[in-house]
Amino acid sequence: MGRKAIELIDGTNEKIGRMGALLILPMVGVVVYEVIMRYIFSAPTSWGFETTTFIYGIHYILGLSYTQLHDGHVCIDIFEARLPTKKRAVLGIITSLLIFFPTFVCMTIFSWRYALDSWQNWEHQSTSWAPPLYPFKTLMAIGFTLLLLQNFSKLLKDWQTITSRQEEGKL
Amino acid sequence: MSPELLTILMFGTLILLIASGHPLAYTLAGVAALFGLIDNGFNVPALFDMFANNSWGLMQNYVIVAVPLFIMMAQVLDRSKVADKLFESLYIVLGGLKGGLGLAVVVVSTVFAATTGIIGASVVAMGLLAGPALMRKGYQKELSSGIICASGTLGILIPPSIMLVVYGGLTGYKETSVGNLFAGAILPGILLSSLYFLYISLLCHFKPKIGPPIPESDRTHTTAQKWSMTLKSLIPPLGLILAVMGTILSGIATPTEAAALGVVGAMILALANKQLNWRVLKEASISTYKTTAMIMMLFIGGKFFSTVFLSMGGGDVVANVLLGSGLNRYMVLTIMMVIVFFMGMFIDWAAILLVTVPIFTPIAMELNFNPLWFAMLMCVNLQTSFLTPPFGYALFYFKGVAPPEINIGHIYRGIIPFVILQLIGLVLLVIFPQIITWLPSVVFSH
Repeated sequence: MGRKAIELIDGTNEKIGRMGALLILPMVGVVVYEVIMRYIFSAPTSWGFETTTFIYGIHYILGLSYTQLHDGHVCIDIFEARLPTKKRAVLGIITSLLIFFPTFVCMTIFSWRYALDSWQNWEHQSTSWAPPLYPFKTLMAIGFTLLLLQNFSKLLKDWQTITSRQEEGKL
Repeated sequence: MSPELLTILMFGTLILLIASGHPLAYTLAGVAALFGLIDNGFNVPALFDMFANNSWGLMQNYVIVAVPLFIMMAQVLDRSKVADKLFESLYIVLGGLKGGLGLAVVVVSTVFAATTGIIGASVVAMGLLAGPALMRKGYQKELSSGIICASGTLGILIPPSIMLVVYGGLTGYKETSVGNLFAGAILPGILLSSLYFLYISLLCHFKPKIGPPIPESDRTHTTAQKWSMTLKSLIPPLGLILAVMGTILSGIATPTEAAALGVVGAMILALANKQLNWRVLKEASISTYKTTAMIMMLFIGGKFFSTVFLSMGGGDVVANVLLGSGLNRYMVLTIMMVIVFFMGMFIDWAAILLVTVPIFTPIAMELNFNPLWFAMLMCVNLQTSFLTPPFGYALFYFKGVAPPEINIGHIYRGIIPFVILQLIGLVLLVIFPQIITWLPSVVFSH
């Protein structure tokens, strides 16, 4: 079951990550369009500035879990790297349970609450274009949820590393 | 608990947990959560509502939009082979001098630093390009490693630079706007690059064995050929520099807009070198994604940390210790710089920046230091953090691509003179603050 959960989480985040990464292209497109409209046609858009910010926000918030999947979050592994694989997995589980999970379980719950608040108040940006904010706050909650799941997958992998002795014996 | 005790405990816990090897960003957030709760009497909703609000604020920060864009520009440029051509021509032009190949690396890296805002790509590119060439021509391993690592890190200082974007996005002062920081970093960047250039020339002049000129028989190009090669390979990157930095300094475009134009410019250069296709764009996007998300995760953790630290009075504690010590203001400055330098030996630049800037900037203001000048000292110091063992990222990036005969010992030994050059540069910037403040005052005088 653990293996299936890992495959499901890793697969989902890989797919979301590969799509999310491409958001950089429309981000470039919108900014360049805005610059051209403003300087060449003297007709700045009402939406360029905010659209850019929204795309950027979605871009990185969905990238947090993808970067975790590929072990891209920097850490100081001077001591950790010297440990044998199993001990490293044990340390990984301890630090995750001690540091990551308490913090980011709360963070995820409260970012959903934050999004829910926004839906309930039908919150819009107070600018002339007045885009809705609830979809983007929801995406923030989704981003933290995916990050939580990806770290759960790492936890399962560390656990498998620890318990893999029997399986190695079978092979 | 008194703020003094909390401050000490908070930093102590951070250091202890960082050493466990848990990702830095999570650790910053976790320590912030723990001490935030201790400080507010375990009011979970209040703390995490604030954190949710902090995260949302980061998703709304238009200045930081320039970070992914500049990273993308560097990633596309890195795949465009523009650097290869420039190195090939400078190899021929400067190769005949003592230490000439090393000088070529410094020049190429400096030009490329002015088109990219990150260091990973430039150290890797120069390591792959110049590393084998330097070994073949009999350059000392230590010297070669030092040259490639040190000049490769100029990318994070010479604008455009994501470090300066993060700094500007973090402080929000007018004096340290991204535009001002960009203008202020140009001369310090050139100063450091000149220091490397001078050092390599002098060293190889007196000890030609460690950096020999290429043999007479290999020098077959005429002066005219050399000039035309150099011009042809220099025009594309210079055009890009003009498009990006020119639009920012003339006030036509915001740094974010210039960054997007830079991505388009990099794509055009890649297209001209027949290197642009869907696969390249996809790879560049994915590399950009990982770097951006890594920095933004640190931004989230760092924001939580500094918010809690400042709200529980930790900033005042540090300020009182430093300001109440009766030390002269340059001594206080030195202490702050030593702290940053020491942290740089272990921690990633973004984490140091996000933790120390909110604490140190008010102190620097209190001491009547020019905020722009102070910012630049911090950034030169943080650039050095890429080079200082045991944890210098540039050294690891280089090790990953270095020729097999170079080991980490050569790299550690080779970088020491360049770290000393960095410190000399830092001292020069303290003695001659005009190196930092002159250009912004001219460019943005209107």
